[in-house]
Amino acid sequence: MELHLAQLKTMHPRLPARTALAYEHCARTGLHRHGHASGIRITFSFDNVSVSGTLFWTEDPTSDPAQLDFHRVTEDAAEAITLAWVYVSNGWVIRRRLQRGESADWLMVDRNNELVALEISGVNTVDSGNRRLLEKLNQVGRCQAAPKRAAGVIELRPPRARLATV
Amino acid sequence: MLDLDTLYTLVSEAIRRAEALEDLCAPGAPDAYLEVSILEEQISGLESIPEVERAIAQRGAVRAAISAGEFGRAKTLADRFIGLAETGAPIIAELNELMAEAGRVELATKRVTAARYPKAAKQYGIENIQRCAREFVDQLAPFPIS
Repeated sequence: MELHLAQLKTMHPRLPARTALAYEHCARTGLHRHGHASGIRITFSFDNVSVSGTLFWTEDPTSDPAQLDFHRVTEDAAEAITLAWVYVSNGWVIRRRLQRGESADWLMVDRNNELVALEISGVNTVDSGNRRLLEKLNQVGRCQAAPKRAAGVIELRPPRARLATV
Repeated sequence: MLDLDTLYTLVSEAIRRAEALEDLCAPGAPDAYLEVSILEEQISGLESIPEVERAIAQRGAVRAAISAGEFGRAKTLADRFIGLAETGAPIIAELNELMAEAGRVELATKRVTAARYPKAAKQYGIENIQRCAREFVDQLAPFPIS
């Protein structure tokens, strides 16, 4: 499986163009922290079924990571990778962003046109004992916006992506 | 009137901006949330929208108004949505819950303001000062600070 983060806007037409660019920029910055370059191998695990893939992004030597908030970079990098992954592997497409009180980040539609609530989080190193994933699954379990709910956590250091449904 | 696709793109961008400003405790956060509330209100008013998504937009309009500190707007919106014939019992319960939260946030905000300006709170009452400020804002008049 190949993920091209530069194609986020094409994958998700309702994703604002500026947000798509910001997400790719944060993914590039967050992955560079660990010495990763475009074309890095990444492990994807969906409900404990793992596949490996390759992650591509556009290199930008002019960008200045010092201007970005560390936590925001991690979270937005996670959004970029997860949104590209769920599109390529599951055909999920963004419908709209949800506010914090809705217990999920995105309202998506799957291939059968059914709604999916998706919560995304990122960690700079690794998610020890799946703590963050369990926390996010618990959170999205409270979401009323869609009958199908999922949470994903991206670990930037390995890099590794995990997604689980409630 | 904008269509649903356009409004969804706009509200997605607006939510992201408002939450980023809130995380930074930036002074522009309330205005950004007010924009979210206005967009959510427009989405909720579209005829073509599925009911589940209308409920999300209704909750969103009220929730963002609370985050903007616009408690009067939040109450007006909640009352309007609850009064609609097609609004079901679950969404009415959720809107009432949001309004209870708004009441708690408004009370906490008043206490903070009263603690910050004890003399003005004692002499005029924070509610009177806020009402006066709102009237000046509504009339597009400058607030007389001296």
